[in-house]
Amino acid sequence: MTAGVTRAIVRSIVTAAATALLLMTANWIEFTTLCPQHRAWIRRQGDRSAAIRSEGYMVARPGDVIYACTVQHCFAGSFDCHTDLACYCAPATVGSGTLGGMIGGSCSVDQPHPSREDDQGGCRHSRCDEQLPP
Amino acid sequence: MNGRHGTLPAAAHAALVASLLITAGSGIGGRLTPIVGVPLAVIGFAWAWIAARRTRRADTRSFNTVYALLSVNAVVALNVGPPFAGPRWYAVAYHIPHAMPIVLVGFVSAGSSRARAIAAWIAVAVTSAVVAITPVAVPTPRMDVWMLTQTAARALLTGTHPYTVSAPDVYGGAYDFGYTATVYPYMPLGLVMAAPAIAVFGDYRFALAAAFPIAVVLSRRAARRLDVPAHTVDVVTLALAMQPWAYLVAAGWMEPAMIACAAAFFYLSSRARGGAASAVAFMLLPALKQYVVAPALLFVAMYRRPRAIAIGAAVAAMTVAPFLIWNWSATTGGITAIARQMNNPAAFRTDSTSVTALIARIWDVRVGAWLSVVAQLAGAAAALAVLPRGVAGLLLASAISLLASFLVGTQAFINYYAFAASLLLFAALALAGRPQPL
Repeated sequence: MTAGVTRAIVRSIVTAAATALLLMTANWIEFTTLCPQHRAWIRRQGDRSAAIRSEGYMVARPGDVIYACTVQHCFAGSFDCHTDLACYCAPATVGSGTLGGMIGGSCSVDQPHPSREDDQGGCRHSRCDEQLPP
Repeated sequence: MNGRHGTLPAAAHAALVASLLITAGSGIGGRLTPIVGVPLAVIGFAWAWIAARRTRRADTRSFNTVYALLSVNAVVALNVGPPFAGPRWYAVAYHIPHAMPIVLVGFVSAGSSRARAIAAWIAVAVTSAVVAITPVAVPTPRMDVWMLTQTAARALLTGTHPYTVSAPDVYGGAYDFGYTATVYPYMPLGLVMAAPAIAVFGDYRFALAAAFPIAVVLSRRAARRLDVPAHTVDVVTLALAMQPWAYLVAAGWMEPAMIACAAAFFYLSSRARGGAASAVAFMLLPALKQYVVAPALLFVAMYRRPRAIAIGAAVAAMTVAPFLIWNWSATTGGITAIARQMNNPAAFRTDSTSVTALIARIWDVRVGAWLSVVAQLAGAAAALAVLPRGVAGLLLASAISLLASFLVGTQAFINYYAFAASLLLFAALALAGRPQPL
């Protein structure tokens, strides 16, 4: 391997490392300013009747209950942490206590019988942020 | 037009930069799409325009920016995992085609011509291997397109009209995209291509996997015929290998076949101008996916050989006609399903890599699907006015028109952009070689 190739590989690795750093920074900016689950938590702190989630593509499956869960969300290990509030679609048999244990947070049933017409509660129109396998 | 060692014509350079920016922007995925992905895709589109503006200039550029962007693309791709759950060994293998170029770029940029070619072929071999094992590693992807295509092509194999069969919901009711796709919603040629692969291997994605090496071989041969310097060919080959092939094949999207088809057009055009075979290859693009509208019109406007155009259009029509004769209403219903679905505001995909999706996220304003059609036609008209008639002009204008449409579309994802980015790579090769009229 010539010195030129070695230099070029080093240059490529440095570029790759710089890109990784930039991506990490972008991820951190997204985490601190845009995280939708944290914004939902902030929204609910100001207004207990505010929606946690009312749109998106993930919906409750037949037999699912929607749980509202608070969970600690950390960036890069424990570099920076905040509280998230999110809607979880999971079978009714799971139960809020078990689900809370599974995700390391605290859950309560928000929609016992989710429907696309729901316009009350935190998790509306049958939408959720996460799904547990049936 | 041939560049010195380590340089390439300014237009080819801009097309290559545009392709790499588009690949990075559309590949970034997830939550970074609005803040990083969309801006990169928009900048990539701007660079495609810069390429168009530079086509009549004779100056050259060094590859330095291209090398840097290849490294950037490698990291962006590494940042995103396999799209579907699979065995652990596949999760590792999936990343090898993205990780290796960080080193291979060094050989391509500073190695001897032999080392450069070996590096490019290593990238091709590794990507081909990973793409080929993808259907084995992910035998049942949680992807509606795959389920719809498998179901419809299997029906075709048993003599049932493929647009009359309903596919099961692969998501088990877990997703609501604002529309329900139970019947195959794409062009019949995709099924005609899928059926033999299903009959032999049980999964049409094996045919898609073959598209990558085919595209590489055809584009390299075309480039050689056009006297493109070997250095440029190797760099473009590496960039082509870094397209998200494994992702596209895992999901069962038809774009790999479209990229191979575009490469076939490029190869056939480099052999002889005005041939019917190249017209057929290009006209099969809209026969594979409905969104390729303006490129077909550009082809007619640029080609100026009525007989070849007629043959190309006739062959494309023949891929649809038997299905229409068999069952007119089912076929037209299937082919137009996406267009009808997109008229529903609820079907707007805010997770798209598009400016319109970004606007929808920020201001909750959703434009209709008409804007995408208008943008594609306007982009094509503007490109036609600027670009010289020829293979390079057609490939570049096609990419510009498609990108214009994706960036303001109601849905635009990595597969759409991979096709446009590949067109830009072929355009870069054509721009770096001897000008080839159509």
